[in-house]
Amino acid sequence: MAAKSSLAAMIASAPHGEYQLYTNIAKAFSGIENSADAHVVADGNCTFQKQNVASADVDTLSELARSKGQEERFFDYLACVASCSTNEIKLGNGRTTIMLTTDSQSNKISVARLSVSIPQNTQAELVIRQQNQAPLLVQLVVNVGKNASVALMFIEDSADKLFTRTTISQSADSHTYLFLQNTQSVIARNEVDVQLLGEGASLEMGGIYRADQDHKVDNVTTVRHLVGNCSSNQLFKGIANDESKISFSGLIVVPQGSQKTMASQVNRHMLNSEKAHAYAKPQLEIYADDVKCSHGATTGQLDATQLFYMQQRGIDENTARQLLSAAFLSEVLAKIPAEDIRTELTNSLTKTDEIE
Amino acid sequence: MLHIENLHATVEGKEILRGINLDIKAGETHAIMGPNGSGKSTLSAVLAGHPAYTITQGQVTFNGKNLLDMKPEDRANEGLFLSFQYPVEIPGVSMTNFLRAALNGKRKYQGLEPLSAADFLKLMREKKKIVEIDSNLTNRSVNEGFSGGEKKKNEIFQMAMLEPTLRILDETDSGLDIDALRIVAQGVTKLKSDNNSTIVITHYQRLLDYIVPDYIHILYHGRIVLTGDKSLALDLEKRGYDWIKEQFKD
Repeated sequence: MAAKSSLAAMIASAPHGEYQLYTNIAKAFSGIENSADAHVVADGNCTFQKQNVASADVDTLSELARSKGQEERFFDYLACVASCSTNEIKLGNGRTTIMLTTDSQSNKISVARLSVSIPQNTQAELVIRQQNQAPLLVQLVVNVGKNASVALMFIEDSADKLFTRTTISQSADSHTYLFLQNTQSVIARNEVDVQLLGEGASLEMGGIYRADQDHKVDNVTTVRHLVGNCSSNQLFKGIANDESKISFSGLIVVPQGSQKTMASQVNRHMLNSEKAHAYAKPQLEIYADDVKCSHGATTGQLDATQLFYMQQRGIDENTARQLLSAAFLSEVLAKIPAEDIRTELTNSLTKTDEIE
Repeated sequence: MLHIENLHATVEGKEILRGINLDIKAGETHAIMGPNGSGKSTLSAVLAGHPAYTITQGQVTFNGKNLLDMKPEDRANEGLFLSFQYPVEIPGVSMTNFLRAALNGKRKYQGLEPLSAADFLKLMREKKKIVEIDSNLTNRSVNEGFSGGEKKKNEIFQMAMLEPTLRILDETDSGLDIDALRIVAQGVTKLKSDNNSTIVITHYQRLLDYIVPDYIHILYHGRIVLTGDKSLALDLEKRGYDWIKEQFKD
């Protein structure tokens, strides 16, 4: 557990300005006085070991966090300061479920540091669930071995402030599917950083987020095609209701030499009220010339014709909006490879007063 | 059942309905015909409560209640049904969830408990037969990938499920081949009773062979200029609309 002053010092080094998007870190962390390890339970075909790590030098990390180009690693540094243990998980074939719980205090940030490896040729599924009503930081570091495949699915069952930073390194011919979901968080920020290190690697990312009241959800992704012949596809769809703010910032980097890269990024935002905000920042940095890279970002509203059609059938406006919002997000759910998870999420999204 | 008095309506500042008067009693079928641009679709949209239209004058009572004051969903729950000329597709919303929400919306309005899943499915099976609609279609998203004919059949299927008292069919025959027209029209007729009424908006006489009207009204430039019985349709078929335009130009 980090000393109060170390945590405070680290939080003070949080990035400011545009990088934060809608997550005002200072505000999000105000009132947080100490930290604790989240309770991590792993169930499934895996090996699991909790390791203590040397306590981090706050001053060094604090200095690092403030230096140019490092602000994106803030949550990694914060995790190091706030927690002295990591959970090492080696996945076998089939499904592993990790359950994260905390002792729910609003003045404490609980931290789960997960180091996950998928050995060569393994076909794994990892479902990460959290049942938690207090601030939680999840640091997930994933290594996907040669010819291995992993489906990583974050399911948010309940939430207060939820911060996730996922760093993925993929070897040749590996496949990763990553799914992120935020529908209840008051503040949520997901950062994903993927490095495609071996030819033939492929990545698929899907995210759904819905913010109500004055909630905020930010998604920041970075995909680096460090070698050629890899593919990545991203589909992120978000809904902002009431006075909420949502954002998506996606960077794709294709250095010179990464030929035959195929990368796509699609972001769709729906604004359901006049005071809702959505921000989209697609970025492509492409230095190779034999590639196929595309991106698209749109912001819109519910289709008025569809809404009227539903009302004409006797569906009240609120229920109609709920059904249309769920329909909007269903495109992302359709790509979840695990049928039971897909069904679970579809049901919870389309649950309204009229269809019990 | 429906009483329209001196109804004026505009859209984007342009006046389309310029004083409509119409009375419809339970059990009656009224056809509304007229050339393009006369305001036929506007009338149906205004009765259904489409937000794009502004009522500038007049009143409409439905079962004694002020229709124009009601939200679209309340008009529907009171028993008004509009079969759209161009039914919209709603990907991601299943027909089943959609109809169940509609049915339970109506039941809630009437102070009834929602229908159980089992009873609902039973009702769906029963009503599918009326319009000869495929199970395939009801398993999909609302109207998604449906052909023109399938969309119209789906409108009548929904009508069968919701049992409205005032059925407004907006150019239901447009885009239909002979067989589809027959099935759709027969569906409408099967659902007819002494307690419900129908407004059939159409260009062509052929639909009226199946859905026989008690009255035909000719709409021109936002007004009903002529009312007659079903023989008026045959007259129009022979002579077209030119004589109407000539006689009633303003």
